[in-house]
Amino acid sequence: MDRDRLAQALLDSFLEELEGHVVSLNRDLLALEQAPARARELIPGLLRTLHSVKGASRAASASRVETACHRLEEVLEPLIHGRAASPDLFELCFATVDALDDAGRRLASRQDLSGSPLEALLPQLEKAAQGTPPPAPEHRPEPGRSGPAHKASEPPSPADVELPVPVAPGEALPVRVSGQKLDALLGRSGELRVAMLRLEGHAESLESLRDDVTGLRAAVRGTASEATLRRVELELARVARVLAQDRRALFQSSTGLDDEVRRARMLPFEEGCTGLERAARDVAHGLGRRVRMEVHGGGLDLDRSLLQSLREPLLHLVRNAVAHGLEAPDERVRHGKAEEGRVVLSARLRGNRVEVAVEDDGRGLDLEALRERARARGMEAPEDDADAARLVFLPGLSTAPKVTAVSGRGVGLDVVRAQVEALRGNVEVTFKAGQGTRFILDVPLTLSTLRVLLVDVGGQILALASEGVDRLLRLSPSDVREVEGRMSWVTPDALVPLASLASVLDLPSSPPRARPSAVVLSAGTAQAALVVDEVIAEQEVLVRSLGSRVKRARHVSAAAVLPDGRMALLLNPASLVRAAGGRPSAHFFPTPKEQAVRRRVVLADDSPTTRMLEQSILEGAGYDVTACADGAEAWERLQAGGADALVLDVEMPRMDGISVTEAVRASPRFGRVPVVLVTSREKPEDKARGLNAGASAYIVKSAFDPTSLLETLRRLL
Amino acid sequence: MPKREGVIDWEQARARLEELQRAADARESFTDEAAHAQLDARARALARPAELPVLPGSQREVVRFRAAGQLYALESRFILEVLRAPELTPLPGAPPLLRGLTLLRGEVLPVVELAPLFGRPVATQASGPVVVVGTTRPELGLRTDEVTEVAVLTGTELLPAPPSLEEEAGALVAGVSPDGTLVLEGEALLGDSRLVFELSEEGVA
Repeated sequence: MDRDRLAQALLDSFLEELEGHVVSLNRDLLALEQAPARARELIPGLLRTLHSVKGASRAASASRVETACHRLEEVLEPLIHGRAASPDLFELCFATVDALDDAGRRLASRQDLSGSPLEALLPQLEKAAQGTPPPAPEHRPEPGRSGPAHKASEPPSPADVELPVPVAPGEALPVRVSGQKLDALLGRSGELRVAMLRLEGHAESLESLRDDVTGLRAAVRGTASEATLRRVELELARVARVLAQDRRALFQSSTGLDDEVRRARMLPFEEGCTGLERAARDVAHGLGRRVRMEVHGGGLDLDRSLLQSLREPLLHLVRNAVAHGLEAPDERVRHGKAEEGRVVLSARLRGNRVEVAVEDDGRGLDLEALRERARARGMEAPEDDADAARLVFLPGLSTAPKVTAVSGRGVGLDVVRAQVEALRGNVEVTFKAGQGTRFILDVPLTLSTLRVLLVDVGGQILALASEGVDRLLRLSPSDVREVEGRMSWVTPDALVPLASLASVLDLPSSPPRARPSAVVLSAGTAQAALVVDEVIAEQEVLVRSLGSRVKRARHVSAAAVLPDGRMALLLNPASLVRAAGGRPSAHFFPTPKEQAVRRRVVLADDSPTTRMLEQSILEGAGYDVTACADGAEAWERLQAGGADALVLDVEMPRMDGISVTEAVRASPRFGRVPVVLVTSREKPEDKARGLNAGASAYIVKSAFDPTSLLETLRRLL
Repeated sequence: MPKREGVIDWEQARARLEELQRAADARESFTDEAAHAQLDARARALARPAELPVLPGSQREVVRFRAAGQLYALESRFILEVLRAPELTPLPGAPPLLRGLTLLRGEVLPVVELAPLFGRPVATQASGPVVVVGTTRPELGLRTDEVTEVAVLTGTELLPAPPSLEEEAGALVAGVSPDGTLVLEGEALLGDSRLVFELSEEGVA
């Protein structure tokens, strides 16, 4: 390894180490500040950590870091004898730890440390170090003498290298892997799973190929090709079998790999809370308050990326709790509470979701103030207390009477809500006046796969998390009411806001249908029904974030990777439910006029040319045409979607026009739908057969001209 | 000259003598005219306009492409690949700049239009190859009408961008080549804050 690369490697490992040290310095300093009596127990730990940083920074030639650590050691050492530290001293220590953290970031991006906060702090540290009586030399930790943590400070000499502790065979040594590497690994594993899903699609096309080949049997029976076809069939069957085997094996190992990588990425909840206590302390300090933060359920293992995504919202809620939830100390005392406020973070599992709560023992929410502010902004103030509490999530509706340095930053709890919803989660707030406020974040345990309902809107496929879908509906006009200019779907217990998904998303809308499909979504206690063109399927999909360049998208929380490798936008039920409520009236059913014009005709003819010709004639006259290749398909389509009339060829494979006519007449649902038979058979007995089967009209193809077909239909409808 | 022990190569010695004699004769025949001609030739060579040597680093390999009718060039080191005609999924409420999203090996890639960055309207036709831009990993897709060629561009050929363009998108343009191709500045393009999207919810500022 050449000199430069060695230096880089040393720096990298130093920086990685530094991150951990900053965390423990913060933790121990906070503990010391809370309980100065524990100095004897805490100071040695602090000194040890500083010493490690010092040593490692020397190896990585970060001399300013080394000096700062040295000074901080000198500042902290006297405290071990129970000497009380002034608040200023703590402030300086915290500032130094922050500056160390900052220095690490600077070094990582290859910046010089001159002009850094760390450099700026050095004179102050020196003064503080000298301001205390010079420490007794025997208390000074001798470099390299007090344990392995100090090793790094010594220039390594071969004689001094400690032999590794022998490890029992089979016992695994822990390995430190950077989060980035794990992310990369997970990314690769995700690619593998996408490829897997695609393979599944290929297997399906192979199956349909086999069906096609089987269909050829009759055509080649008795010819020389019969043996060839048989061979092809056998070979196809073999390939399909082998493919299925390989697919299973691949599926097992790729899913296994994914699970393993995911497990490797788990971190205890506690670690996700790193830095929050410090943030709470800083806010409290700035406001002249005191706060103690507790973490409950800190041992719960959670996905690293989930913890990372929760960081911002939690940081925000913690700061918010200290700044707006807790009262000033004198006020607390007046209300008979402890002077020191309490903020509790907790995490617990609920099925495949995690519930994270941020709770304070402050004054609770001021609902009247919230209502007042909502009214001032021209909004309706909800009667219900729970609804009124939810107003805190609206942009610009902070409860604090004045904007503090903390609540500043121009962001509010609406951002928290947006961030949590981007994780496909929900945030709710409850409170007890005078006793405290509790924010509950409910997020899915895994961010990567999800069961979704796929719907079609204006030709675009969209995904809705199944857990947010309450039910599927086919609407009829009697289910819908217009109330105060808003459309609603009527249930026995409530009026549910109704809107078309196309209009909410600004997508091109399709012509209204007689019985439109709708999806009922729920978010918390709110519900909405959204009209879609078609419900396609429910399935498991991979979920991908929108990437670093799309920070926030309207109603979209992520992208779903469909089994065929295409993408569908994953919609955010909570924001859809909110948007659906405010929609002006729209009509979801065809108006009588539209209905008259857009009559639906199921057309069946096995000749593609004739079919196309008839379709264009009918569509030209304003009919909505469903074209089918044979009678069986026509019968299926009729059952699936209904029709106002059928136009059928007589001679067709699978099911001829006569049989379809008979089936239609025998059906209670479609018995009265007009059927027009179009055929080349012009013998009177054929005509009689058709009419006997129940056909409403019989048109002979030789006499076929557009006007006679259209005229006949017009007469029948 | 191969030296053989104790043997003198007389033939070679004679040849050298002859050569020296010829050179001595030539000096006699080098007239003033010949000397002048020689000097003139040198003067002319010196007077010829200097052909600037290509400075190292001023040559860049670029990929040329057309988007909404305009020709652009971007250094090939910023281009990771070209997708022939990926399916684009539009995002609700997205500005015209953000044409849509596509999947690149299972990851979401935003595909953008260049024209709005230069204050021009986007083309209505949305299909065409997508140039994947990024340095270490795919960051952005640029929708193009077509990708024309890979060419080598010399910095000295470039003209400064016209003032109107300078105002609108000066940082994005390294220069204009004589045929009207806008040469894009890759770093500036990747760092342009307009290419980071934050679409608010409806009714929320």
